[in-house]
Amino acid sequence: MNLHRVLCSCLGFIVVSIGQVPVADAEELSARDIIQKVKDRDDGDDQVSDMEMILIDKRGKQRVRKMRSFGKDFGEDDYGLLFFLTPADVKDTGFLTYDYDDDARDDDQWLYLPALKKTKRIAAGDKSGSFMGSDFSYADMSPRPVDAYNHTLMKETEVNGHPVWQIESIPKDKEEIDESGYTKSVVFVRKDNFVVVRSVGWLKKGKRLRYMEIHELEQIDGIWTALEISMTTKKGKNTLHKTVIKTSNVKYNQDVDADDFTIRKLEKGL
Amino acid sequence: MRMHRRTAGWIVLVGAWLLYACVPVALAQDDMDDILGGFEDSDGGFEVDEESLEQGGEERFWSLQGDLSQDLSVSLHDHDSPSGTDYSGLQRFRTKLALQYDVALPHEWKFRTSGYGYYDAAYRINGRGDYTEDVLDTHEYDFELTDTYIEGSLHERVDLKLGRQVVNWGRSESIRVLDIINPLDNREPGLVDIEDMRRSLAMARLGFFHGPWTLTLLVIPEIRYNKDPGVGSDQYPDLAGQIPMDPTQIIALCEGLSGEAAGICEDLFDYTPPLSLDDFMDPLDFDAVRTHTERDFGDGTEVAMNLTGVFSGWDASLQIATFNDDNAHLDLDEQRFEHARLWMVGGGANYTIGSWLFKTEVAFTDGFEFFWTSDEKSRLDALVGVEYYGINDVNIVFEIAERHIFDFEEEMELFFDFAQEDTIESALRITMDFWNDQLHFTLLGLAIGEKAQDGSVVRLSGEYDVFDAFSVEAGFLLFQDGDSFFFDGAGDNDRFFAGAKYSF
Repeated sequence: MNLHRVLCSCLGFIVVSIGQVPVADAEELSARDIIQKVKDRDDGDDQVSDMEMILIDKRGKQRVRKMRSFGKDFGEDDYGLLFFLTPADVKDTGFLTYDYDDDARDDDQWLYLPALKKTKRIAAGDKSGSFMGSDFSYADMSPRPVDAYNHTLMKETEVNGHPVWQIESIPKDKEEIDESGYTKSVVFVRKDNFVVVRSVGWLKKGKRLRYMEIHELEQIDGIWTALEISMTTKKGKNTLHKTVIKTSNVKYNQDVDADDFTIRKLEKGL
Repeated sequence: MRMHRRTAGWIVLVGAWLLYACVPVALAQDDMDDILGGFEDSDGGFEVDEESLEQGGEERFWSLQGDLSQDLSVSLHDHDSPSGTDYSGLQRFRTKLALQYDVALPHEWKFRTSGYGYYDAAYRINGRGDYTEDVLDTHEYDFELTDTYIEGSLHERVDLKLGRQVVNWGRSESIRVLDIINPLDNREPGLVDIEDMRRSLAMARLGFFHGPWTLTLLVIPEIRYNKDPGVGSDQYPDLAGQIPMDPTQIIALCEGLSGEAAGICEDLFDYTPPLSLDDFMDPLDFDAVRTHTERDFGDGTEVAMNLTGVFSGWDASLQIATFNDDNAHLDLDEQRFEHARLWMVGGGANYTIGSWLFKTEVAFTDGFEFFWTSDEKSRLDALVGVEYYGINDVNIVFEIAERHIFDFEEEMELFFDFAQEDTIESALRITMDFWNDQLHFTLLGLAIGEKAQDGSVVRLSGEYDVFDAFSVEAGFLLFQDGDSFFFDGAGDNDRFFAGAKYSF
């Protein structure tokens, strides 16, 4: 499942963009072509946004994390910087990531821990782990290689009144399953703007499913932006946990300084 | 008739094949429809409670945050400290408040001040008269000004941070090789809050940045040393028990030494026949022996430099420093404890591949001083470690280090120095998160010696986030006796601990 474009618009690393992409005829595009177009959308050079991540457990208890995120393109690579604002026990924790387009190259990640007053490099090989306890995994936050999957156009349908392609993507090898954490996914791509508005992923462990859905999609500075997105973990029909991310104060193409994506900035904070 | 039966047979075969091939497809489609219908299922109980969400407020140029905590510890064994204080039962009942105040200044400069204060009611509960003055002074209450500094950029590639701060150059989680800048709070090993473990020092920190390279210069005029357990605490090693008091033992000790050490022994015990112990200082009366502390902004000012390069998949650093030994040695001539002046050159590196992170630190330090020899000694410390991130919500760290003292003299193993020519230290840390990061378990084990024969400690704890910014914790701290002086009798110090913390 490639949620990168959608999720990153919420997490501020990369932005969903409509550009001037014309509505395509299904006969002209294969499933792989559609997924490639999702990945290749113009997303702006950089982005700044505030995010509120709400974690809801099966007893209805809510935990809220507020973050400020920055994202910037460096050629084909994506750099991201995230600072936690609340709650107080994680305030000033920072996360810096260099997401490389080259599949053979591991991403670089660093975590700034205010309690230790120290930046710690972390190994980013396994992306199937949960991001800060949420239902989003690190794999959900970074682009998956298009050709690591077999894509099949299942049918054309509608989601919330918008025509979409329904595409099944299955990893070609065990390595991709292990790294992403998913054995299969089905995505719903809007025909008019190549936004993945819904998806469901089959987790490799525990017979669980992850449902992603965009609840609010809006154009900001001409760029389609998901302002509210949910990720729900289910086992059968039972919901185990849900995460809602609300994005606000989104700004694109602010000419964010490249030096802001360094350990220097990570340690200085906001 | 024959044709009819043959045709019927084919019909049955084809029908069976269709049933075999198509029913699973139909069933699979039903499963898929069922799964895709999950978007429409009711999320009763999982709706966002908008009313409980904090509404966005006006951004201020200042912020005040902190935490209020209450924690306790209980001895698992009835035992006395070397001074005779009963250390059974309740050992800590501490209320602590920590505050941090930040101000955003013009041109992206920042000011921060922070500190904490605590009061431990366990001493009053147990009876203050049962404890030595040093224990009460060291443990009963404390106020500390921690990070207090101003920081900003002097130039687009130059940063300045001026004031009390913590600088941690080590890559290790648990063993100090390059992490030599800030002294430690060792008053209650294993129970010190991690954010307070390193004592802030006033310094000027200048950082120069160019591409992947960072050059950091430190000038540290404030002189502070480790905070150690109070004399009379069960965490304070039984130093007096190591020193012979019987004249026969003293004579045997001194006459068993040779060269310089023999002379030192005679001077220590004023060993001139007839032997008199009246001239010998009472080893428990450390009021008679002071620690010499260099004055701030004087000759004790420390200087350090770090050059780090950060690259894709790896990073490396080089450190040089001249600084004061945080551990003191007894200077017989001066009749006081002194902190030797050391200089160090060292380096470290990280390397990541897949879910693995490999790390190393090496430091060569010269200038160590000891009681039993007038020669300064040098020491080589080397550490390797590995971290594994390949299991979801689990982090495993293993580190091992060797410390070797060059030109070691056997007498340095005796009391006051308690040194070893070679020391192996190892540490294993496993952290596990459950329930979407609501529950955390941590296992930390530290061992001295190849087979932990010199002592070890294990800390097992669980922390639960009751709601945002409020957590509770409980665990065990288990010590293992060892041949090392610092772990002699430590096995009685096992503790159960628990606490609650609210952050705001």
